[in-house]
Amino acid sequence: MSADEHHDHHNPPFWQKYIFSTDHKMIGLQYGITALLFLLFGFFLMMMMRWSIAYPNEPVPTWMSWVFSDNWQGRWLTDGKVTGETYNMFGAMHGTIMVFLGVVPLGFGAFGNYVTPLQIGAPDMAFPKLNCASYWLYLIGGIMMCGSFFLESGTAKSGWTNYPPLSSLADAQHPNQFFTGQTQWLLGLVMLISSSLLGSVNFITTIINLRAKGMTWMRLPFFVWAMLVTGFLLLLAFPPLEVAGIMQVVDRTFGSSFFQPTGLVSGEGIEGFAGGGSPLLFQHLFWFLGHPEVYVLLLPSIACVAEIIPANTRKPLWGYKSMVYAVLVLGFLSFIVWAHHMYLTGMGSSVSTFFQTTTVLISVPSVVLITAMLISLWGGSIRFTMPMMWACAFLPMFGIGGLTGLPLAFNLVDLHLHDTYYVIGHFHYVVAPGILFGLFAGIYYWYPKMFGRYMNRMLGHLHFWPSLIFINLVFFPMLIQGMAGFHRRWYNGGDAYMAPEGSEDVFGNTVREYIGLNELMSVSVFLLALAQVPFIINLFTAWKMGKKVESDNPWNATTLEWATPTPPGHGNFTFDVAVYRGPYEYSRPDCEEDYYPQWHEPKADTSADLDAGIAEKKEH
Amino acid sequence: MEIPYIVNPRKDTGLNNSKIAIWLFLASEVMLFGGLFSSYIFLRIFADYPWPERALPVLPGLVNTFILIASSVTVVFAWAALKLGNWKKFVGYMSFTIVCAGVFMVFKGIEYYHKFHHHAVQTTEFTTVEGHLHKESAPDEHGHTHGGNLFVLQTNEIKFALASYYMPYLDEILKRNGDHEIKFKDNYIVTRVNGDKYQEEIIAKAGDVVTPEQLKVVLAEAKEYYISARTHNQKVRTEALRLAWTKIRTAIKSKDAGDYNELVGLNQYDDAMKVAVAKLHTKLIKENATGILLNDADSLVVALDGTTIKLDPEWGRFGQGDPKNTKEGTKTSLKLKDSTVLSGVAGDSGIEIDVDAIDFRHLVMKAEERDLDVDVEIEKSPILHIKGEGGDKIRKLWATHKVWRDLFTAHLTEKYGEDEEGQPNRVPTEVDLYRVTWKQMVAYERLDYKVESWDDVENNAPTLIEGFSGANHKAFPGVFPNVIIPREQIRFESAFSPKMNNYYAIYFTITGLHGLHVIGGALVLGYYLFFGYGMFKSNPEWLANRVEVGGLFWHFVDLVWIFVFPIFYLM
Amino acid sequence: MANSPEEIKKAVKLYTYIGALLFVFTVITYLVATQPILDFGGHGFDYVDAIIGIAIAAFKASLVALIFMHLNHEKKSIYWIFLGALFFGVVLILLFAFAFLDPITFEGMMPEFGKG
Repeated sequence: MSADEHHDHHNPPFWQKYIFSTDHKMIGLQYGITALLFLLFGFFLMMMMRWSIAYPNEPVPTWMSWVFSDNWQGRWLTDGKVTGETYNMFGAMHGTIMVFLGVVPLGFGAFGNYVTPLQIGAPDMAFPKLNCASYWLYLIGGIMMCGSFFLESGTAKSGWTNYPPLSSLADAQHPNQFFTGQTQWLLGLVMLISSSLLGSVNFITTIINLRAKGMTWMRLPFFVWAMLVTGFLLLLAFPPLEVAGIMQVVDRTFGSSFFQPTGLVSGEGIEGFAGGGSPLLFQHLFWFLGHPEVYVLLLPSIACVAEIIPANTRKPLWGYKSMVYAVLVLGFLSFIVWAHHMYLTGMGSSVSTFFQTTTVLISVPSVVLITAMLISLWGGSIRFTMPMMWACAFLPMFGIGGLTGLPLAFNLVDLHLHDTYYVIGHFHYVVAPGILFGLFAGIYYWYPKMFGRYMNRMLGHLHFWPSLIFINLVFFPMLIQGMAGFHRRWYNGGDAYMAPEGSEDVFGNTVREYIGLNELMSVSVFLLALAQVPFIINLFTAWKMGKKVESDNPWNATTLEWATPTPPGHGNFTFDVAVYRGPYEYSRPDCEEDYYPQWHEPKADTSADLDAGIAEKKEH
Repeated sequence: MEIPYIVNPRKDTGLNNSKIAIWLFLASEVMLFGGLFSSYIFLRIFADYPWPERALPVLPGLVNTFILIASSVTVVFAWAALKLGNWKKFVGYMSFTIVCAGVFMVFKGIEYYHKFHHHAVQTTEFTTVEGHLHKESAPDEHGHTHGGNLFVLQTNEIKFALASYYMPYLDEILKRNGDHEIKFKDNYIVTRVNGDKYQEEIIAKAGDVVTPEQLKVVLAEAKEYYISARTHNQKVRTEALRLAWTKIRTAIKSKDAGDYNELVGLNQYDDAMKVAVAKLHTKLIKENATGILLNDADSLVVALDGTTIKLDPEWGRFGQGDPKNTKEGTKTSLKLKDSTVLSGVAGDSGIEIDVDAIDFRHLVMKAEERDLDVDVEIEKSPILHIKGEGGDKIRKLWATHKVWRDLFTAHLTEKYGEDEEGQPNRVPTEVDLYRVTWKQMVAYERLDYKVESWDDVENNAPTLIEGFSGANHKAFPGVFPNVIIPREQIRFESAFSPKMNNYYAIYFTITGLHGLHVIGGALVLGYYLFFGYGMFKSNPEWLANRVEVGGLFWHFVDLVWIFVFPIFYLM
Repeated sequence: MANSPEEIKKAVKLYTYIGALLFVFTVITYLVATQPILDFGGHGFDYVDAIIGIAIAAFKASLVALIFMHLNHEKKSIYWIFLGALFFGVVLILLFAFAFLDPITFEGMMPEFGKG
């Protein structure tokens, strides 16, 4: 290190300490705050969508529409009602924001950044400046995407999946293609992909090379294994989407025909492209990322839950080794299941069978993970702290989500269920009551380490119970509606298809039977929104007024992050960290305490000495 | 606080951080270019038009390959020099590497430049001619101009879409209109609100003549008014709708619903409910219950006196769809991308082109699909029926080419024999049979259109250097026929850009992305060249590591090119 | 990892040799593509030429990867990272194979959709 860098280290100016920080903890916080704000915004978009679904013929109420300027409402709402085009805009952005700007940055960017170096005993990430660049690329990409709401063309409106030719033609009638929502979406995506790529390089290098003395691979907390696999998924799966995004940008701005088939006719007449392209090509490239992406969403959440359960049952994580192998297999398999999103593209039976097989296969490691965590509860001395409540809720919720995915894995059943509300119910169950609950658990669990204070329990319960109830009321009816045949992306909730009483239209009558569920779901969504208010309040009030922690290790946990001061300073550890045992040494019969932290030096005359072993002490 | 293993490798993994990082990054780059090559294969196999084989001049690509290989060698020499502590050698080799990068980009730039200035026109019968377009010419005796690839419209009327009209288009159109008269066609009525009073005002009077400046001012005023009027009206209508729902809901809840009795028990989706609400909504608006609606016409129309205005094809999607609408003399309207509509009579929008290649392969493909006689269909192509000197030359070229291909077919049969069924072992390719290349045009001209032997073309073709960047119009003036193709015969036209077909699209995308990687790599290596001396003095191992990592990236860039060259230039 | 001065000098000799080899094979690629004598398979470009071209390119690429990029004496973990990426890259490149199995593109089964 040059002399200059040591100079500024101890007292960086405000902008270097808080804005362009290179400290992984500050960057983790930046990711976390930004991601939570985007999640809130995505939630709001969805509230507007659910209004349109439940009350398609009524204007948006003032308590929702006050956010928009009068001019914006004049342009995008008709008689105050959400139009189809506006609904599509919100739908596309809701999906994009939640997946790319919300959950992944929260799970991987925030938790991954904050906790991983701490748990492996490293002073920071391997490339702190690259880390800073990753965050800023993410923020810029997010602003580009969301800023397009203010453009003349509006924002992207062809689904978060952005399938051409629809997405190539959308916004095509604007002279300046650069300033259209669709193009900004693609360019923002390129920023996000670059951010993730740099981030994953950082993570993997850190985990490989910066582990503390004695931190062998099988002593890594499961959290770190999950982050390692997530890093690889991001590294290898994102580039094909970048290719697809670049190709679509070239289609839009240079008029190429990568995804335009010959002879395409639109509302404007015959499209003037050269043709010869393939919309299917985009789908293959998109889902090549799309499927690993869902595991990128999942693994950080499972990572959080896998840390919280042992600490709150005072038992080791059951089946740690199996979980490690399961997560590695999961990562590998996730690359060869993508076309189960494309069963209805006419791929043919041999290809569908291949993907069906791999898809059903991939449920095995997922089940291993969930089962191991479930069994970990057995015989445990369960402490229902706030993190534990969220973690315990995660298990059945994710279970429902996963189980509802099984019918979708079979292409025969998918014939009926594809593009219905069943799919929406399935993936939301996995992500919303599943993944998000796991991440909330993580927030409540590591908050004391970050800020030295517990989050308030009463507010926590006010957040938890209504969320659990209402979120099930939102998504369970979707499974029912989906099986009845309700389509995705209907902006009027099925209104257009509903048959009058006594009609012979079978589908129309089915719609009539289940359309009432829309109101139930939408009202639940609005109440779910209210349930998040205690959480937002808690985040702020606990920071300054929460109950102070009694020690640096308030949960009496065993992993390395609890060996740091609260909050950890620059460089994280105040002593030379060495690891002497596995990550979940709880309730050992030969120990006085019911936990034996990884970093505690072994006493010479206990059987714990056998773990550490004098021989191992000599190892790195 | 210091991050460990930046310079020295960690003992158990044996690696330092940057080495792991660069290989991870290269792994993701493998997936990136893998995705692009995968797309290339996909697009080529499923092309429903003849794929341009060996369409690119090979020499620039070959030279670039040599340059990049040389730079790969020197970058590793540079690294070795650093490891041996020899700063001067390092500077020498690294500079050479970066210079190579620069020369690579220069050749790439030359290639791209020639491609973008080369055009192709496809007729409705799927004949393609390639060549150079002429810039817009001076008017001929009929007052027609050609060239410039513009759409000519004798414009009677222009309808401006107030919400979206695009100033650059407006400026250009007014410029091209010159001094010709512009009149408002209809009244544009606005409603002025003065407290409680609503007054109508005409800001554009039908029949008034305006200057371009005045028109711009009126348009801007109308646009501002329109947006505020739209907002106001939407507010009024929204409030009315809220009121309608409230009224109906209250009525239903009360003991006697009156007119709305039959709606009791229905939900918001039922037809009867929707109809009732809509009726009440309309009534409330009529009664001005929630406010008064303002005039909100969304367009402004001006009339012109049939002035000829020329429009750039990129401004709109005209010429696509039914080309007959572009035939000189047809009444037509052209819609621009900003929703401005120009109506009038189509003028002569023919494209003037110096033809340097004639390609019937697509026509042949279509004919074969329909089981038609290929040669008969070719003779029907409009390219062979153009009047004038250029057309004559094309007919001569095609006749000569037919002679040559017969000779060539005979030669192949003679050289490679026939199989047991009497079929020749080797036949000419589609390209040989149905495409007249520029080199063949030069050769035929040199032979005065008399071909006697199959190798006459080879012996009279231009040299590799002359054909360095493709068809060389400068070196061979007079060889390439000059024709004007009427717009209604044109199905598609484009420069050799990504728009032309997917081959060029993927070519430009891959080489463009590769070029960006070359520039990026050169910048990183350049940074160590120009600013590395300090590090060399204080921590040479660290610098050597950094240069090694940069070199690894550089080698990867070379690796990609090793595949790009044969795939795009030779296949 | 070559670190001592003699090893590096030896390596430099190897690099020069490999560089020359790359030049030679580039010329060979060009000749195979353009000279009629070296046109194996049918006249003009066909799958035989594609295989030969890709094979030569792959050979050159492995020279660069193994020797210029030191993969021949690199740690196993790096090998695995790169090979893993290559594996998935090949899976990606074989995407087209899946579509080839798509009955919609089978000419025989649906002639009106055949040939794209």
